[in-house]
Amino acid sequence: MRVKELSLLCIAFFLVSCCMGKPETAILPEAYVDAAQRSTHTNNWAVLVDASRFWFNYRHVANVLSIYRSVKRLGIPDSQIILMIADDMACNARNPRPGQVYNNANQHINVYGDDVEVDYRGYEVTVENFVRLLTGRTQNGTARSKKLLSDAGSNVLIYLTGHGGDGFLKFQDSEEITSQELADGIQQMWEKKRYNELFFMVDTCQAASLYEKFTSPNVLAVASSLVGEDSLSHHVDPSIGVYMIDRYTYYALEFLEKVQPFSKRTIGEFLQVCPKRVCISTVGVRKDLYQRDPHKVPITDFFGAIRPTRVSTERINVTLANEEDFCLDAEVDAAESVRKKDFKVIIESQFPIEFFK
Amino acid sequence: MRHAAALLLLLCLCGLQIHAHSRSGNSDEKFHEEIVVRPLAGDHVNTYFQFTTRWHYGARDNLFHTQLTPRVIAEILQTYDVKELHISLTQGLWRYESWGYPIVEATGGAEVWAWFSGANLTSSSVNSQWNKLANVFSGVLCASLNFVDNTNSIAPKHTFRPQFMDASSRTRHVRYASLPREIVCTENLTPWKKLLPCGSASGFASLLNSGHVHNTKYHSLSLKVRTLCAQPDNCVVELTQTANLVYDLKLLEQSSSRDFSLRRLFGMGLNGFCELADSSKIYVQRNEQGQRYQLVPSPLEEVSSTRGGFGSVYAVYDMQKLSELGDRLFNIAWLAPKGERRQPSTSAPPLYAHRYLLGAGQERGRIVTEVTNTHWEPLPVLLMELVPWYVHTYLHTLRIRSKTNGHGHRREQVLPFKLLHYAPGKQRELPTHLEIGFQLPPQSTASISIEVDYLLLKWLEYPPDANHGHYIGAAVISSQLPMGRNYTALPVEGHLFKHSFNATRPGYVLTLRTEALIVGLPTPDFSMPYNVICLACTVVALAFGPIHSVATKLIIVERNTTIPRNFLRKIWHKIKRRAGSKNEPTEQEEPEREHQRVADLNERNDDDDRTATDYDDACVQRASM
Amino acid sequence: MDLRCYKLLILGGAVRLYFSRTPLAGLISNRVEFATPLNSYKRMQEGVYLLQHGIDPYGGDLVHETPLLLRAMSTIFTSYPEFLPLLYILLDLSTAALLHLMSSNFVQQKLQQQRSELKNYAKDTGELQYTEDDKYDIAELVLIAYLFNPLTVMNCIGLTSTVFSNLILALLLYSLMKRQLLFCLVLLSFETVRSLYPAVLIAPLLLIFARRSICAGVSIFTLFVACCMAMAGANFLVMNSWNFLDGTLGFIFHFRDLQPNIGLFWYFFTEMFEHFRTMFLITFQLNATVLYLVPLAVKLRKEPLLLATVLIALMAVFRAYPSLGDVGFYLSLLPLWRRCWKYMSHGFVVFAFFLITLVMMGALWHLWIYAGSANANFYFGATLAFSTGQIFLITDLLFAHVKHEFCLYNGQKIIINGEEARILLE
Repeated sequence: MRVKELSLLCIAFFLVSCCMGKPETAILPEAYVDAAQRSTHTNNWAVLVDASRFWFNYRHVANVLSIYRSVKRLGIPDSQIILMIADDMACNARNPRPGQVYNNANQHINVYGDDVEVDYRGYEVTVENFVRLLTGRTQNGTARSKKLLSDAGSNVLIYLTGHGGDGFLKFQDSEEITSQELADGIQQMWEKKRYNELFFMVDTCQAASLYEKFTSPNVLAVASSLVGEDSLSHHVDPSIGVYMIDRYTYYALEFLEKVQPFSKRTIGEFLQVCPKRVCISTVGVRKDLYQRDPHKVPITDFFGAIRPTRVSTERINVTLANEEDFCLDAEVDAAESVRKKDFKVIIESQFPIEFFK
Repeated sequence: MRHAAALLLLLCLCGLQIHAHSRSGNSDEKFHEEIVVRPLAGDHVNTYFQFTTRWHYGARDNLFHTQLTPRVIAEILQTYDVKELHISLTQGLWRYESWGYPIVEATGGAEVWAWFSGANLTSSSVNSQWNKLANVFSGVLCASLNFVDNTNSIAPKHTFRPQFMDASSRTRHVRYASLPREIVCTENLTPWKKLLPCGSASGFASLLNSGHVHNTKYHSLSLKVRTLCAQPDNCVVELTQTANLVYDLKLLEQSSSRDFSLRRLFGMGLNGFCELADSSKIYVQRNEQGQRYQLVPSPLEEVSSTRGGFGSVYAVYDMQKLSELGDRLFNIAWLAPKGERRQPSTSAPPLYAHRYLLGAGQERGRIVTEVTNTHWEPLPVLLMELVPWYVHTYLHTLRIRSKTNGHGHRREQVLPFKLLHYAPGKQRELPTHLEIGFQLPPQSTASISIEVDYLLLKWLEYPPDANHGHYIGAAVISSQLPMGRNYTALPVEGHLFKHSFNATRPGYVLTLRTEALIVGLPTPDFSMPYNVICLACTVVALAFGPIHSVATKLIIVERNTTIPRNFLRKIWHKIKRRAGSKNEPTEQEEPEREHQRVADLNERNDDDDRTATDYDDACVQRASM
Repeated sequence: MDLRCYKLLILGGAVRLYFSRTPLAGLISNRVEFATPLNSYKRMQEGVYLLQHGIDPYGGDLVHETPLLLRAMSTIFTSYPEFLPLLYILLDLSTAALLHLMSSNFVQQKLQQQRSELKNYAKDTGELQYTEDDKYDIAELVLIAYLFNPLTVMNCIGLTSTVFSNLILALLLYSLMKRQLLFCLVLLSFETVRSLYPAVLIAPLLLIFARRSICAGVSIFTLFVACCMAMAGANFLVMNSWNFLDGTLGFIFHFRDLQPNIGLFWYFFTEMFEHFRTMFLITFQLNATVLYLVPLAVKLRKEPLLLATVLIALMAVFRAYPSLGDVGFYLSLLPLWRRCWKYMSHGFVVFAFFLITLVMMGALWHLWIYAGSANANFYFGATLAFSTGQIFLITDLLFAHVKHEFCLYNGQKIIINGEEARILLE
C-alpha cells in the first residue's frame, strides 16, 4: 500500500517537473540564443597541408592551393596562413607552365597565384613539424612565419590532403600521422587555448577515420570520404599527364569561388558540398563536438577574416614609445650630413695573392 | 583628439618628407633601381635587376626607425653581430664558356655566407647566431634555409674575404653553407619583392612576375647586406637585392626573328619608376653581342668605359630624366638587322670550370674539377670544396694535373699546391672542408681530382626520396685576373652598376661556381627494420645457446636405440622425455631411461689423486634427479 | 723448424708476392669483406698523409689506426711505398712462422701433460691422444693453414692492417706458450688499445700465469691495466692530444661507420630505431666481449690455448668491424685440436656455408651496389649466413672438445645394457 502510494507520488512529481521544464526552454530569449550562436572569435588562422611528394601527386598540391587561394581571397593574410607543401610542382621540371598550378585542365584558375608564400616546403613537411606547429612547441629559433601564433580567440582551419588509410595519413610516403596523434594534438591545442573553434577538413581516402578520435570541444570536422571509401580525383590533364585535382576539393573550390567576403553563405551549406553523385565518395561530417548550428555560422568564420570594427567617439591617449627619438634623429642627421660627404669605402684585398708569389 | 590630429599631421609630414628627400637626395636612406640588359651568345639575353638601398645611419644605436630599408634587415644587424650577409637562390646553371661572367655569382640552389664581428664573439656563439640567422631568413624568404646548421656549414679560410668595413679591428668569423637541393619558385620571389620599398607595385620590380621569371634558363635572386663604418659613429648599411635572369629567345619567340623587347621578355611593359627611388636607370650593352641590335626607342646617351684594357659601351635610359622630359618609356625593343644569320663569334672567358663525377656504383667515386685557363699568363687559382659528411674524401688521393691546350706540344704535369687547408669531415657533425691554391699555367686545363666513398646511412636519415640521390654542393673557384676581359662584376667598394665603368684596378677578383653533383648513396631496405633486428638477434642467440649449454650442462650418455631414427618419432621421443622428466618417474619407465649421468668435467676434481674413473662407479641413475 | 717449413714459407711468400702484383691486390684492398674502416689500407694511407701534413687525423672520421703505428709506418709509406707489399708479406710470413713454433711448443706441452695423466685415460683412446709425430704434423698443418688459406693470402695482398693484428696475436700466443709474462702483457695492451676486443685475452693469460693464486691474478690484471695506460700514454706522446682515443676505441665502441662488412653490426644498426640504439649497442658489445668470457674461462680452465682460440674466433664473429683476415687467422689455429676433429660433426655444413656465402657475398654486393638489381637485404643475408657458419664451427669445436675429454677418460665405446650409447649434454 505504502509502496504504491510512493510510486504514484514519484510519477506525479516527474510529470509536474516535465511540464514545468518544457515551457522554460521554450521561452529562452531570442537574443540569448542568438548571442550563443554568434561567433566570439577575434582572428582567423589556417593550416593547410599537402603531405604528398612526387609529381604524380600534383592533384594534392592543387587541392591545398585551392583552399589557400580561397582563404587568402576571403581575407586571411599570408602571415596567418601556414602553408605546407611537400613537393615543388610549380617549378618542377616536368611542369610545362613554370610557376603555375591549375585546378582544371582548361586552366581557368592558376591556384598558385603570383604571390604565394609557402611556409614549410619539401623535406620540411614532416609529421614532427606538423605536430610541433599545431601544439606550438616549435624548435628554438623557428621563424615567426612558421609558427601558429593563434590564441583563445582564434578560429583555426586545418586542411589536410595526401594519401591516407584507415586511421592514418601518409607524409611524403615515408612516415604517417595517425588519427590518435592528430586527436592528441588538437586536444593539446584546446588545453593550451590555441583555438576558439576549429574547422577540420581532410581530403584523402578513408578520410573520416582521421577525425574519429577527436574529443576536444568546438571542433567541426568534414572529410571527403567515409571509412572504407576511396576519395577520387576529378580529371586528368593530358598535357601534363597527371590528375589535376581531387573531386571533393574541386567542388569545394567551386563553392568557395562564389563566396564573397560579405556573403551570407553558411558552413552548413558548405558541409553539403559534393553530394555522392558527383563525389562518388560520401562526404563525412562530424558535428557532435560543435556547439553551434552550422546553418547559422557564416562561412567566413573559418574561411575569411572579417574583423568587426567599432567606431569610438571617445578620446584615446596614445603614447609613442620613443617619440623623442624622432627629434634626436633629426639632430643627428644634421650633424651627420656634413660627415657623410667624406665617406670613403676602403675594402681589403679580396684575393690572397700573397700565397702565390 | 588633438593628439591624434597632431600624429596624423606628423605622419603626413613624414610621408611628404620621404617623398621630398628621396628626390632631392638629402635623406639618409637612398634607393636606386637599375636594369642591365646584355644580349648573350646563342640567342640568350641576360637581364639583371639591381635594387640598392643605402642608409647612412651614422651614430644611431638603434635601427628600428627605418624608412626604405626593410625592418627585418635592420633588426638582424641589431640582434646578431652580422656585418655582411649574402643569400642567393638560384635555379639553372650559368654557362661561362658562352655567356661570359655574370655580374653577380651564384650557385644552383641556395647559398648563404655571412661575416660576423663583435665584441666577445666566440666560435660557438657565432655558430648559434649563424643558425638563428638562417632560420630568420628561412621565414623571410620562404626557403628551407633552416636546414643550414653546423653539419653543413664551414668557415672558409681564404676564399671569402670581408667586403664590409669595420672601424674597430675585432675578430671576424665567416660561415658558409649551400643547399644545392633547394628549389626556387614564386614563394621566394614574393617575399623578396616585399623587401623593396615600392614592393612589386611600381618600378622595375613590377616586371618580375612569376610566370616570366621562372620561364627562364637561369634565374637567381640574391640579397646582400653589408655595413660600412668609416668611424664607429659613421656607418652605412647597404642592402643590394639582385635578380639575374637569362632568357632563351628561341623558347620565347614563335618566329625565327632575333628581335625581342622588354615586353616580350616580361609579359608586360615598364610601369614607370619607383617614386621612392633616387635613380632609376636601364643600361643596355652595346658592344659584343649587343652591337648588332638596333634599339627602339633610341637611348638619350651612351656611356663607354674602359676597364682593365677592355672597352664596353652601354646605352642608358634614365627613367626619371625621361619622365621629366615628359616621355613615358613603356617598352624597349631590340631589332636585329634583317637577313643577318651569322653571329659574332664569342671568345671563351679567361678562366672557367666544370665538374663531374667519375666511377660507377654506390660505393666510391672520384670528384673531378676542371679549371681552364685561356689566358696567356699563369693565373692563381683557389678552389674551395664543401663535401657533405655523407661522403668521405681521401686527401692523399688529391691530385692536380694540368694539360696544355695548345696545338703544338701537349704537356702533362702534376701541379704543386701553393696553399692547402683541410678540415676532415665527421659523420653527422661536420662537412669536409678543403681549400687549395695553385698556379695554373697559361693555355691549359687543370683537373683536380679526389677520391670519395659514399656512406651507408641509418635508415631514418634518408630523405623521403632516397633514390633520387644526395647532392654535393658546387665548388667555389676564385682567382685574380690581370685584365678585365668579360669581367662585369661591380668593384667591391661600389654599389651601383655605373661604378663598374672605367673601374680599372690592379687585379680583378673573380669567383666562379661549378656544377653541383649528385651521388647515389647505397640505400638499405626501408621496410624491414623488425625483420633485420629479429634475424640478427637470432644469429646471436645461435651462438649463445650452445655456448651456454657447453658451459653449464652436464654430460650424459644415452642408449643409442632409445632415440628413434624417424624424424617425427624423434620429436615425439623428445617431448615424451621432457614430459616424463617433469612428472614423477614410474618404475616402468626406469629401464627406458638409461641415462647415465657422469660427473661432468667441470665437477671433476683437479686433484689427480682419484684413480681410474671406473665407469660403473661414476655412473648414477639419473632418474632420481 | 726444419727445411720443409722453410720451403713452405718460401712458397707462401711466393704466392703472396705473385698475387700482390696482379690486379687482384687492388681489388681486394677495396673489398668490404677484407677492408673495414678499421683496417683498410686506404685509410692508413690517409692517416699517414694527414699526420705528415700536420692535420689531426682523428679530427675527421676516416682514420682509426693508433698514432704509434701511423708514426711508425709513416716513413715507409711516404718514402718507399713500392716496398710496402714486401713488408706486409714478411710480416705475414713471420706470423706463420710464429704460429708454427707456437704449435710445436703446444704439442710438446700436451705430450708432457699426457704422460703425467696417462694412467687416467681409458684403454682404447690412443687416437685421441697427441703423439710424438703431432709435434711436426700439427705444426705443419698450422703453417699450411695459415700460409695457403685464401683468406689470409688475400688479406695480406690487400695490405690491411689486420696483418699487424695477426702478427701481434701470433706473437702473443707464442709468448704465452713460452711463458713470457711481461712480453705478453705489452703485446696484449698494444692490441687492446688498437682494437679493444683483444682485452678478453687477458683470461687465458691469467689462467696460465696465475693458476693457483688470486693474488697473482689481481697483480697481473693490475699490471695489464697499467700497461694499457702506458700504451695510451705513448700514443698520447705521439699526437699530443687524447683525440685518438675517441678515434680508435670510441669509434669501435659507438659503431659510427655503418659501412657493410661480414659482421652482424652494420645492417642491424642501420635499421635500428634511434631510441633503442644505445641499448642494443651495449648488448652487442657485451656479447662480443665479456658475455662468454667467464663461462668459457671456467669451463676451459685447463685449456687456456683453446680458450684463446675460441675467444679469438668469437671476436672475429661478433666484433664491430670484422674482416675475413680475422677469420683466416683463427681458422689456422684449428689444427691444434686435431685430436678433437673426430667429434666435429658439422664439418661439411660449415665448409659449404663458408664456400657458398663467400661466393654469394661477391655476387650480391655487385648486384646491390653496381647493378642495382638487388638490395641490401641480399648482402645482409649472405653475411648473416656466413656468421651462422662460423658460429656452427665454434660451437662444434667446443662440443667436440667436451666429448673428446669425456672419451679420453671414459673410453670411446660406452656400452649400456649391451648397446652403444651416445654422449649428450643435458
